[in-house]
Formats: sequence, structure tokens, C-alpha cells
Amino acid sequence: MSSEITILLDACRAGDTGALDRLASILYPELKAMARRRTRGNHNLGATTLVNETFLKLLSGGDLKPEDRQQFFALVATIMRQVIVDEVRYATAGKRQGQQVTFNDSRVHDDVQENAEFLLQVDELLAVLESEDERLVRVFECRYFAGLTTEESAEALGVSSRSVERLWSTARSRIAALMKETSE
Amino acid sequence: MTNDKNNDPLPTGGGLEVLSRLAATGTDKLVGRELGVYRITGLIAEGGMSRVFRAERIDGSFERDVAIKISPGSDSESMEPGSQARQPGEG
Repeated sequence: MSSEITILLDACRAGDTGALDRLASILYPELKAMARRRTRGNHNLGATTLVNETFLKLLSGGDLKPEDRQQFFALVATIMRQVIVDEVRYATAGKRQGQQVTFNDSRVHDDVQENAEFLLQVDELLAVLESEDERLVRVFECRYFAGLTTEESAEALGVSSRSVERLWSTARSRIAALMKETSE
Repeated sequence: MTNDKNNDPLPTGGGLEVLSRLAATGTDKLVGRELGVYRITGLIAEGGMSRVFRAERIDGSFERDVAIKISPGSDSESMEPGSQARQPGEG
């Protein structure tokens, strides 16, 4: 008996984009719940642990097969980006809209706020990179948002470790350059 | 390639780190804060749209904990004390 996730992964492999959307909608709340527990519970073990734990949980629950690993990781990196960006946007919503907070001295620490703004800007710049070379964005999502190593990213994307290193390096320098452009 | 966590703005796993620090600040900044006659003492629960904090009465009139719901998207961070927060003889 195959689980829904396994069936959808097979459909994705066959190029069914509807299956991809359906799969994303199943995994999104799963990853969001994991991210919230991890980041709010003072036991932040990092993105790669979170992604691995999600995989193991779905594996032990019979929702995934061991051979789904590669496909799962490739997909999960993109969803992790959505989860993180949405959560950061949510957490900074009041501040970004210039709303007044009624508590005394409740300013969010400036550096934390700056990092959050930076992350949201990076997310926007990834759209520019997507139009230049889609692979740059896939590698960036694996490394920055899912916390995967070079080797894990290579396995997930089905490319060589050397390619991952080259694309990761290019993506980072392109983002730095674009950021400089927009701030001028 | 070396990733110096202190200087590298885009380290491996950096996205979740930003979120973690933001989440920690979001909770920490409210715990211990005073809101009218209440002091927020801890986080009870959180949902998709808001977080609920425990708060204690600090004006000495009587001792009773209340729940305060904080919605980040609201006009001013809203306060919704439960029914037991109403003061006897008030209003």
C-alpha cells in the first residue's frame, strides 16, 4: 500500500505539476509546525536537522519510502523557503506596516529586525535569479533555507558536488551584487 | 569554501537562524512587560494568528492570573483578558 505522499512523488517524477502543488500543500503545514516548535522552544537544532526529522517522521509513519529521499529533499528545500519567509513576514508584520505597539520598550532588537528585512529582500532577489538560471535558486534553497550540505544538496538535485559548490558560490555573489545595486 | 558565521550574511542554514532569533525576540520582548495593571509572565500557547500569554495582576487589589491574547497584525497589539480579569465593582 502506497501512501498519498509516495503516490504524489511518483506523479511529480512523471512531470505532473498538479501533484507537486498538492504535495507542497501537504508538506507545508508539517514543516511549519516543525519550524515553530524548533524556533520557539529554545531548542534550535538547525534547518538540516528539522528537514531530516520531518523525513524520518514521514518514513516511520509509512508516508514515505526510503527511495523517496532524493525527491523529498529537493521539494522540501523550496517549501522550507516558503515556510521561513512566511513566518518571518508574519513575525515582522506589525513593524513593517509601521504600526504602533502599546507596550513600553517593546522595540524588536534592531539587528534581529535588520536580519529579517535582509532575508525578505533575499527572497525577492531570488525571483531575479530564477529568471537568470533556475538552478541557482534550487541550490540556494537547499543550502540557505534547508541547511543541506554540499553533498546532500547534490543528492537532492541530482547534480555533482562540484556543480553545487559552483552554483552556491554564484548565487551568493549574484545576490550580493543585486543587493548593492538596489541600495544605490 | 569557508562559511564564517559571524561575517557571512548567507551561511548554510542561515534562513532558519534568522527566524529563530526573531521568534526568540518576539517572545522575550513581551515576557516581563507591564500592560496596565498586569505583568506578562509567560507564553501559554500560540496559534496561526496570535499568541496567548499568562499575566499576573500587579496593582495588589487581588491576585488572579489572566490570559492575554496578542495579535501581531492588529492595530495596536490587542489585549483580551478573560472574564475573570474584570475587576469587581468596576464600570
